[in-house]
Amino acid sequence: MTEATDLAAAAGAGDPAVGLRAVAALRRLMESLESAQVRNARARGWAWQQIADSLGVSRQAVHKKHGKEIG
Amino acid sequence: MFDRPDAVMKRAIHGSVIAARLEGAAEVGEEHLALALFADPASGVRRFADLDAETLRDAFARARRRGGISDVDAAALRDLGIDVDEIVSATEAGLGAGALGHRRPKRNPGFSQAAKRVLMRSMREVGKDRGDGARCMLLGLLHPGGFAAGVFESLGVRYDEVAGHA
Repeated sequence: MTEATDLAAAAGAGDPAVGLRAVAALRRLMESLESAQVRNARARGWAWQQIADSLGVSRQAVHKKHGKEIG
Repeated sequence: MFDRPDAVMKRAIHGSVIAARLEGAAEVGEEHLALALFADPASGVRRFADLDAETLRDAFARARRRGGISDVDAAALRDLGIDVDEIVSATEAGLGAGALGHRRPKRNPGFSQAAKRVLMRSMREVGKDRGDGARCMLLGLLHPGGFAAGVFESLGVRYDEVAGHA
């Protein structure tokens, strides 16, 4: 962990490699967060429509993305 | 001219499917390919990256629990002011331990998109005459931007170094 931290620090905040890696990582993290939250909402009895409204997307979109995995 | 996977690659691909099945994983992921490659003592992959399977397994498990964020990813996000571990603990406090790494198990998991990409890149390395299958497969896993690449980089293994290795 410390080795990785040093690496990033040494690269500096202006380094595109670090900045782009952060964006790619953030996208991955967001996908995991989304599926965890959707799973929780379904477990608490939320309808797909309610979940879609909260995420600001269509019901079809959210169902297509998570329906198979979560049900 | 068609490039074909050699025996080491075939064993790793086969091993990854078995590993994912035993684990009850949702998909055959990059980590299953990586672990199968390193768990095979005859693969010779440790000539290029001297990691034991246990170390690799722990690093993947940690990254998986953080929702696919390796140590180097976490460091890059910290530069942006984002503390991934805090996000993970807050999420787990509300949704339960392992909430970000959870996937519904499948009896017959297929290859994930990311794992397919790794295999495609490995085959491209075979086409570039990068040496034996172990190295080509490792290079496929190390291709920048991927989940596995971040985990390997956190353990000090990078694409450029393995590609330049004589």
